[in-house]
Order: sequence, then structure tokens, then C-alpha cells
Amino acid sequence: MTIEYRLELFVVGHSAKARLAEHNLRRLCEARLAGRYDIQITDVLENAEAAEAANIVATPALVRRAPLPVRVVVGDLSERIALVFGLGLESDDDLEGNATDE
Amino acid sequence: MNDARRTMEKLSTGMAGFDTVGFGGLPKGRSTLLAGTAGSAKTVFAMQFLVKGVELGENGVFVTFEETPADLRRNMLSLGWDCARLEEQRKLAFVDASPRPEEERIEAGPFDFAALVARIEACVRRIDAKRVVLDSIGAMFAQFKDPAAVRKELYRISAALKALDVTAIVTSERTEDYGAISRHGMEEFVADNVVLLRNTLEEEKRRRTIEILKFRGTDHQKGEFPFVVSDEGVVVIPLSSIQLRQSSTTLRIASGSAELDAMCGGGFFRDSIILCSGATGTGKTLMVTAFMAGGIAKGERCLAFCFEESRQQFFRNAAGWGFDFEQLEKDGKLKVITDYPEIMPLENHLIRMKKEIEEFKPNRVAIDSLSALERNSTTRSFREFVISLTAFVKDQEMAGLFTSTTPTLLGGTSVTEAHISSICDSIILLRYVEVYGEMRRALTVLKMRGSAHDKEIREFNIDGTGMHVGKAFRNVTGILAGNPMQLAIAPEELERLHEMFPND
Repeated sequence: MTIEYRLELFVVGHSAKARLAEHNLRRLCEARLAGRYDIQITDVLENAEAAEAANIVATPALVRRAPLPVRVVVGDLSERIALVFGLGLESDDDLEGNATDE
Repeated sequence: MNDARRTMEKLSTGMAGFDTVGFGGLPKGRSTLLAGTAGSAKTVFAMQFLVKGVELGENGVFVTFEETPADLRRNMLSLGWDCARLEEQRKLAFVDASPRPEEERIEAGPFDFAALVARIEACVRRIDAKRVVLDSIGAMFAQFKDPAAVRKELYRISAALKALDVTAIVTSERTEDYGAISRHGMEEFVADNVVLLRNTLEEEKRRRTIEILKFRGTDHQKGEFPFVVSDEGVVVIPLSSIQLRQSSTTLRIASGSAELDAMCGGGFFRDSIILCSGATGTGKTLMVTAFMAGGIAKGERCLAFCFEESRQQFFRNAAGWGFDFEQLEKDGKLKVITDYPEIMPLENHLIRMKKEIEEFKPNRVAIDSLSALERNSTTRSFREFVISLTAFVKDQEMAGLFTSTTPTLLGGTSVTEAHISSICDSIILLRYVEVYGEMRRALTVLKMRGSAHDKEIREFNIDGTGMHVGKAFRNVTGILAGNPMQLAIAPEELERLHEMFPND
């Protein structure tokens, strides 16, 4: 299976918000994109240049590198519907929908 | 004034006028909110703070929330600031937090600006910056949904700047020139120090002013000060810094007319301002011409600003009186600058005139006429202009001859004189006198500070060789009131009366 979704999650340090964002992201990806995704975690404290290049202001920030166009989802990714739309997965979002809305 | 308050450390911005108003500059190691309406030159001011910092050996970081660094580099080039070169030299760096319109962005839960703070910190450390600009934080409210969250995160940046020990300018947009300090209640963000830039419309003229609203724990000048955005950036005109100084010399200089010198008790004083007032055609420009020629004859350098005539006219008139000004200008002894007053605001004229004076370093400077400049300004700006210019001229140990045109042919004063008469040291009046169906000219020295002078109203003639001051009008009264009356008394009788009250 090929990698369709290349995702980069920018966080600052190991804050609760950072861990929560990573958890929310991995959970959705496993459920919906198993085997078709790749997640890279970038700590801005260790790699400010990468944040500079990606113009990251607010964190956590998820950047969808592929497929194009590039999309950015800001926040701890706890708003599932927003995350689904941000990743562009709304078309095959048949079962979950409003049930998990917060 | 408490000394401790004044000696609290300030950081020189490198912007001379502003440092005067701020008693040395901005509070060092703190953030200052710079608020102003759209187009009030916030970004230019902020960038100038960094560029001047580099000149003083302090590197700067520009965090941009609105314009892209590419746009800023291009815009600042027009002011002669080559950002790209400073970036190569690692003296200036941008942190780009401007929105990228091509990227779709969605919010999915709580966020913070820790990444931005980390980027600013990394950048400050990388080039060892001492100055930071955030321009403009209001844009963050447009980028994110929840204003409360943005405000909270801006506090985080504020705290981080404090910890970095940098001096920062944070710009913020206002909706009106007189009203709430900033649009999103940002005054709380950096409440310590607030500077306001205004760009108001007054009598159909644009007027830019700067006001330091507060510097916590340290002093500054109060009130609004005019500033201009010239080709060198923001130039603040600190009026109240001008000190009233008495003429420091008793050195006399020739006016260019021996008769007038005699009337003035031996010529004008060197560090003095002479106002020459008269209706159109009474000979003001000739006075200027003679003043210039008289200086050059003594080996002095002369600079004339003419706002009423073209160069050709001015040169032709001078040639008519036997002065080859064109040649003198080629020899570098004279410089004549002619312009329409309307080409730029009065504040810009002031900056330009100061610059010309500083570059040419003349011994004498003439302005023909102040009234022409007055056409192009509000009453308040004109008063500020006159005060600032006269103080500057006196400070340079030069003599200044300013002319003023009265609105009526007979008698009269102009608003120009109302503003300047108390500031200038000498006043010469040129007036028309109607005598038996003929217009003649009269000259009198109204005031000559620090010297005795002739108090008679004398006839003044202009011919092919220049100006000639003649005898006093003996049988005419009411010349200055603009209502000349011939006296029935025989001239001999008047002569006798005159001798009964000899001159001091």
C-alpha cells in the first residue's frame, strides 16, 4: 500500500496539549487511513527553522503535505469534525459524523 | 523634576527628533505600544527603529503579522533601507507570521503561540538582537477565531520579550485618531509605554503628529509633535526643545545698502532674524537681493529660498540691478532654491530647508516670502514652522532675512507678522504712500533689538542701480495706518517741530 497522506505535526516541547494532539491524530489516522499515512512530529524548540519555513505561529499545528493542496489544522485536534474536514476525509465519513461531535 | 526618574535608562532610537521628545529614546528593555490609524506610518517608524539600531550596532528582529517579508523589503527600499543586505550581514531578520492565503487553515481545538515565541527567541539568539518589532498584532485577531485566546497568547509573547531583555515596539491599529487607544483592547498587552501616531485632516491639509501618551516610571515631553515621512523615513519635529536664546554677538553685518545700515545703527546683527514686510511691489525681493549681494561682497555664503518667483525671474531682476547671481551660484558663493509652496506640506519644507542649510552652511539665509508658505498650511502648523525655523537659523549663527507680503496696498499687517514679529529681532516695514496723486515708497525700521536705530519714515526709491533710502516724509502722516494725509503745515515749520524733540 502506498503512503497517500504525509502529515507533519508541529508541537512545542512535551506539553499536555502536544501529547493530546498526537493522540487525537494517531487515533483518527489508524481508524481511517491505516497503512496509507505517515506522521512526522516536529518539536519547534529543537527545529525552529522548520517552523520558520512552514510559517507556524500557533501550535499544535498539523500540516497536511500530501495530498495537495497543503492544509493546516491548528489546535489540540480535539474537535474531531474539524480535524476530519481539515484532513479532507469528510467524503467517506459515513458512520461517525455527528455522533462524536462535541 | 526627580533626577532618578529622568536618569532611568533609555534606548536611543537613532531618530533624533523622537529621542528629544522621549528624553533620550524608548524605555530600555521594555515594550512600547505604537498605535495609529491606517496609513499613520507605523510600519515605517517600526522599521526605522531597527535600521537605525543597526547603525548604532544593535541588531533587530522584525516579526510581521500582516505584510510578507518580501513586500516589506520592497517597500522599505524606497526609503533607502536595504533589508536584504542587512539580513545577509545577520544584522536584521524577519520572523514571518503573515497569513498565507494559499493555505487553508482550520482550527480544531485549543492552541497557543508557543511556536511563535520559540521562533522569536531562536531568531533573537541567532543574530544577538537587541531590538524587536511586532507589526501589527491586530492582524492576529483576523487570523484566529477567539479574541480572548489571542489576547491571552499575546501576553505570552509580552512576557517572553521581557525575559529576552530586548527593547520592543509593538504596533497596533486604531480606528480613529482620537478615541480608544487600540482596537482590541491591546493597551493592556503592553500597558507600560504607549506612543500614538496621528494622521488628521485639518483645514483640508494632512497633519501628522506623534504623541508619547505614557512611559511608565520615566519622563517624556507631553503633547503632540508634528512629524513628516520624508525620503529618510520619519522625522519628528520637537518644537518645545527649542530654547529661547539671546543673540550672542554684537557683530554687525552689512545689509547691502549703506543707507539702511546707517538707519540700523551700523548694520544688522549677525545672529539675528530680520523681517521685511510690505505690499506687493514695495521692494522686498530687492531687499533680499541686496542682502545676498552684500554678504557675498564680504566673502560670505548666501542661501535664498524663493517661493514667489522662478529662478529665471529672480536672476533677471538681480541682473537688472547689476548682480550676476548666475555666475555667483556657479562659483558656489550663492545658492538659490525656488519652489512652489504647494509641492509639499509645510513640515516637509521645514525638513528640506534645514537640510539645505546644513549642507550649504551659509552665513546668510533669506526666505522670499513666508506669506507664500503660509498659503499652504494651517495656522497652527505655520506657527510651529516659524518658531522651529527661526530657532534653527539662530542656532547656526547665521543672519536670516524673511519677507512677508501684506494683503493690502496701504498700511496693513499679515497673519505672518502676528506669528513672527515677537520672534524676530528686527522689523523693516516697506509701505506705499499716496502723495498728491502719486504712489511713493516708504521705509522704516520698526524694531531693532539691542540697538538704537533711526525711527523716521523715509522715502525709498528703486532704480536701475538698486535701492536708495532718502529723506524722511515730513509733511505726510498716517503712513503706517494706511491712511496717509498731507499736512497743511509748512515743511519748514515741521522741521522746527522736529528739532524740538531730538532723536535718542
